Parts: sequence; structure tokens; C-alpha cells
Amino acid sequence: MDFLTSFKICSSGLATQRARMEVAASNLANVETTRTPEGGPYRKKTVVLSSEPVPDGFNTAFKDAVKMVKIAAIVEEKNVKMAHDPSHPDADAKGFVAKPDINPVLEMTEMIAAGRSYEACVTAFDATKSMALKTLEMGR
Amino acid sequence: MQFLFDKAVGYLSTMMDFRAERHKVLVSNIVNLDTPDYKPKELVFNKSLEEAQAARKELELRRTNNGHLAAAPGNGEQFQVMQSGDKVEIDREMAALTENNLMFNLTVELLTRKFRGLNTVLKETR
Repeated sequence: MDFLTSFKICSSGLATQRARMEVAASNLANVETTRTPEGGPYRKKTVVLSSEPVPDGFNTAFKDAVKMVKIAAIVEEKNVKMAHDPSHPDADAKGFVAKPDINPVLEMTEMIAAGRSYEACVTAFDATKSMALKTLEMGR
Repeated sequence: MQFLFDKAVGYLSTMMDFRAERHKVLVSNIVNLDTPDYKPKELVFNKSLEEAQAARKELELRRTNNGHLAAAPGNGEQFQVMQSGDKVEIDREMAALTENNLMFNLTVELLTRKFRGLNTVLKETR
């Protein structure tokens, strides 16, 4: 009965949801960015999650039932949005500017979803903590 | 020790085992809420609690010498992991987590009272 495994799983969830939130915030902040150190406009980033077995710690028959979560990759969007704006300093000869292909509404919903998932992880963490504390109380 | 710790203590500790393992499975479901292709899982009793209790005792090693210690009771065989759906439903999982948490606390509370009762008996006869 090791609660440390549950804590480990919860914290993997907290970390990935926070990363999702950061990526969504970065996408929102750079919605109009036309210059980057790599050249070209900012590319929209998407977090890809995958489940991962818990490293040791869980040595009973259900080893493959309990999974942590991790970030498999952060994928960059290939497409850019061409907007007609001849007065823009980064406009090409025809007056088109390459802008990031980001839909702010989608990014906002992504942020809400990440926030909710984060809250769920916090609740699970709290439940684990209360169970561990309750067990300690047993000897009193 | 049978005279001191009756059947109820055994049942309750098996129950605690089950709740603690189920908690891990539920936490894993919640954490993988946004993972594509993750199938939610659920921990269920293989048999009734009584049989689970018996299965636990079956696993004793043979002792050829009275000085040998008994083997630690086998763990995990009495419960079974099942796939509970196609996609994680957060409301279902949170409800199950809360229910499991409360049942765990209840089990601990019952065990505590059991021990407190024993303690009272031991103290008062002195």
C-alpha cells in the first residue's frame, strides 16, 4: 500500500497539464508574431500526450493497469495564414504577410480544458493525501 | 493471535488493501484524461470478500522447521483489473475517487475503533 505511487502519478498529471497551459498561453501571446529567431512567423504548437508505465514501485499483478502521463511531443503547425496587409514591414512583394495560423477561441478552450484537468489532478492528490493521513491516525 | 484479532480485522485489512489499490487505478484514469487511446480501468473483486480472504491464506509456504517464519501473505491475486469503458469520463472518475476515498476512511475508522476496543479491554483489566 504505497501512496507514493499515487503521488507520483498525480504529479505527472499536474506537470503535463501545466505544460499544456503554458503552450496555450504561448500560442495566445504570439497570435500576431511575424518574426522568430528561427525565421518566419511563429508556428502554433500542440502538446501530444501519451501514457507511460510507472517506473518500478508498482510491483503487483496490475503493473500494466496503472499509468503515468507524459508529453510525447510538442508538434509545430506547418501552415501559416497569409493576410493581405501591404503596410506591414514583413509584407512580401504582393503585400501579403505570413501570420501564425492560430485560432484564439480554440486556444482559450484549450486553456479552460487544461485548467479543469489540472483541478481534477489536484483533487486526486488531495484524496491521496487524506487517505495517507487517515492511515497514520489509525495508531492513535 | 486469532483470539485477539478476530475475523473482522482480517476483512477490514483486505478491504483497505482493495481501496488503496483501487485508488491508484482511479488516479491513473484521472491523470490520463487527455491521453488519446487511453482506456479507463477499474479494479474489481475477483470473488467475494470471504473467498479473497481464504485465497490470501492459501499461499502459505511449507515449513519444515518450527523456527521458520511464515511467508508474507500473497497480495493482488484476489482483485482484478478490468477495462471500464472506452473513454475516461471525468465525472464518473471523480465520483468513484470520492466514494473510494470515503470508503477507505470508513475502513480505517472501523479498524481504529476495533483497536481502541481492544485497548480498553487490555487497560481496564490491569
